[in-house]
Amino acid sequence: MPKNVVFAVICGSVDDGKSTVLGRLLVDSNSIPADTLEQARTTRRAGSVIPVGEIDYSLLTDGLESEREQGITIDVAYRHMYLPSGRRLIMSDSPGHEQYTRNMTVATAKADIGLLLVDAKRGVRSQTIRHANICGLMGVKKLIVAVNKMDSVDYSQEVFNDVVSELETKIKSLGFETIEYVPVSGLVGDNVSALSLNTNWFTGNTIMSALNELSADQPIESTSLRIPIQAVIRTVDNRGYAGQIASGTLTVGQLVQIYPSGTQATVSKITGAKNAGVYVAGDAVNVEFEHEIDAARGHMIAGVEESNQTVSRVFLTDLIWLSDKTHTKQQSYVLKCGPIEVTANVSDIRYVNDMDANEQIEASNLNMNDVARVEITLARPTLLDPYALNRDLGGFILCDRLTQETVAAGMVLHAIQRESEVLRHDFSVNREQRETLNGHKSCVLWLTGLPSSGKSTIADEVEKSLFSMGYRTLVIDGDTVRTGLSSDLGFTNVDRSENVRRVAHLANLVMQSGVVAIVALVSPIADDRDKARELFRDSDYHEIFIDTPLAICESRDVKGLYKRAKENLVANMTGANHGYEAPENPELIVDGSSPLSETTQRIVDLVLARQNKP
Amino acid sequence: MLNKTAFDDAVLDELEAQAIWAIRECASFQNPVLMYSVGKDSTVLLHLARKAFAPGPIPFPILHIDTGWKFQEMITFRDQTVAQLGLDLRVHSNFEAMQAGVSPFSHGSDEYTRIMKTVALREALDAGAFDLAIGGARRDEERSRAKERMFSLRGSGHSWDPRNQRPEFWNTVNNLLPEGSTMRAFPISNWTELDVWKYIRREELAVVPLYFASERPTIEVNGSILMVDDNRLTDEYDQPPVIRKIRFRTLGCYPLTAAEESHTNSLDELINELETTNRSERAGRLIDGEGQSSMEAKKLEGYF
Repeated sequence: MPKNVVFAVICGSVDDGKSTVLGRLLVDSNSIPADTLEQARTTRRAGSVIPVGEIDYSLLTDGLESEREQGITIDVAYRHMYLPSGRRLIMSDSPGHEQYTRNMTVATAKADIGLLLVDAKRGVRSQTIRHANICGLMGVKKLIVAVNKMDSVDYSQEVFNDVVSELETKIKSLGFETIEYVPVSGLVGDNVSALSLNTNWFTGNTIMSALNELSADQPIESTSLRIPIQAVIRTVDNRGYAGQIASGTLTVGQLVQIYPSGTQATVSKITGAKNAGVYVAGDAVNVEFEHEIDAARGHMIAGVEESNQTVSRVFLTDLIWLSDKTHTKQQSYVLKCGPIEVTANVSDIRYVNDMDANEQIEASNLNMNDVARVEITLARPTLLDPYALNRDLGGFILCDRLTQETVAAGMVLHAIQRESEVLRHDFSVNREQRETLNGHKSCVLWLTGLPSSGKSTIADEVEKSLFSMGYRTLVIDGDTVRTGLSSDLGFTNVDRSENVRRVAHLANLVMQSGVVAIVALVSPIADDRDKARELFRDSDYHEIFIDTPLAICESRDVKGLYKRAKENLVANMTGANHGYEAPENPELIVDGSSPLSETTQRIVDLVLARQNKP
Repeated sequence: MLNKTAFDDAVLDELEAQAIWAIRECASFQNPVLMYSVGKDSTVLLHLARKAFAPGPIPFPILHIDTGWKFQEMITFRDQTVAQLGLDLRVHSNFEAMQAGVSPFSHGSDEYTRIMKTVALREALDAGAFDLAIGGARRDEERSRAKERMFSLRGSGHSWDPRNQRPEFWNTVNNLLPEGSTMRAFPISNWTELDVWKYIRREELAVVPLYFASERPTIEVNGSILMVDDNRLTDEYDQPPVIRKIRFRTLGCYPLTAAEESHTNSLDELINELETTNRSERAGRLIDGEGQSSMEAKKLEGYF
């Protein structure tokens, strides 16, 4: 998106001199009307020490009555500045008090450039760090740090260097592309728009020249087409879909894909604010298609290249909690991202970021001004992009269902793909065709039971039997999986669950290939097995409980696990000191101490019976 | 590197696209209405609304609050525009107050503005059950407007609570309204007065002729030049009109809007004048001056 209107945010702790620096920038860039300037020479606030006749710069940026009374900034003010380059800068003047962090966050949302003020005398404060953090989080890429009130420290290079080095270590990991440090006195005017002789040791940019240079940088953009549909425009003979191109380009004749339906359509007509052959990011357009499509507000017109579409129900995001109403578990919200609207839950709080201590802390609730990394789960698969690629496509708000208030602002890091939610490509050869080629139907046999109950032995016999009848088969054995696919996992509950999940998906792939998958896995937790079952149709999945008495398992003790568990050498071993949850409704129960041929036959019969079912 | 004209044009393109985006968001509300005050900002807003929904019609009605003290040329221009574009215009006045004889002279500009503009606007929004009013206010106009969100929530009685504004992020509008609340939208928030005029020139939009210098009957009251639009003004001040070559920088109620002596009678001249004189826009609005933060006080009560 070409940017000739550039947004910047001015921030920093309260009393670090934002108003004066901003006032001076506005005057120096000739952005203040002459009569307003005259008022700032003649009007004085109670307690002002600035002589009448000189400009009281802070008066130029005053806004609300209550702000003037208290001498503080409560909410963002937006001010126009004309840069020497001719570009337009809209400066968001943000509040410095911690209680107005929410408004400061608002000021950074559109900002490309941050101007962070630090008082040279007082040094780096916790609000300085907080504001730098929020700038980084909200996607401000370019930071100018104005070390202000240099006149109060006799323009000492040492003081300046100390502030710079202290700040540098604290903000270097916040993701800024460039950080420029400028020694400044807003009061005197040093290095605001002209280099000062008072700091002859400094040869860098002034604030003005830094703003001028940095605003000329054009952002790197994603090239994938995205048009969030804002409105459907009906005319007598057609329907158009109106929205602003968020990224990519659009021309008549182009093939596009509509989300969430996945329908493809060809563009037949584009009405833009002005006529163009190719419409680009930033353009407001109304798009018509060759054939009627089913789309509405909140749907997305996107490119057909499938590699970059992140349709998912689950996203990892950063979240800034903005409401004094605490977030507790089970709360559901309305998520809005542009015109997209979908029910959302905060399904997992990974951590809350304690900026003061620079620590990640565990939390079950979210309170006002908390910055947290969370997983959100949506009611339906939705196309959201990483915030780092595009703020408008990856930035979202959460709204409270009762008060309708905006309670959080969120930034998508990436989609978390759960198999069932991936937008699948329709491949030409499908499972039925593979089954036809193989001459039989495939399915999954899931053998669960205690260690040494006989799962692997039975699986081996079943495979031999089926193989001899011409069936294509594969045994997925727990021990084998542990040496490869799951070699990164241990034996805690979380890791066991993950192991079961991986095996289930592997079994599904094997089955899709037309092969009978025979799983031999302890899989002790009922919930994990139920999740595995959910991946399959009923007729495809057979849970087989190898119900061998514990005493027999202990006496077999193939791997010596029971013995070592008794000696407390193996922690978390199933059976001995770790509960095995027996299946409640398995398709089949066999006793591993029964004759092997009998057990094998009963399982093979399941596969044979499967052949006559759809 | 772009030259100045190309820069101006690129800036206008971006401001235009942003405004169209905002106006299209307005259509997601249940019952929006577009405020039309006949001035230059309203002219731009109306044009943007037409573009936003082209080739379809503007999907909501247009509302004009008529105080009964608007310049006659404004009313003529309004009716021509409505007829030409086939708009669904609603006009609302505080008839009760009109009949009671409320005027800028009888009640003073502050109270008059409250009754004839603020109260009338609240009445009109309530009567139409409008949950969103779209206006042409800009952040560069006035200091309390610099504080305003593009989508600004109004509580019961259409009051504005500047200390507790709904946060606003990216291109995402929270269009959910608590019971009793309404929304105001300002699609041209980020435009300046110069942007408005340059856009009018670029898009070749017609504006009320009062913006251009012409010889008009005037009187001088407290150092301000007022145009004699009908005999209510001369009756009040008991002065004979004097012909002066004047124009207006903003248009409000004629007894409360000061003219400036000028020879500017083309858009090019007007834009050139603004680029060189650098005087604040609403200096001619006599209602803004009363009290230290008159506009803010009015907005708290529901003024536009």
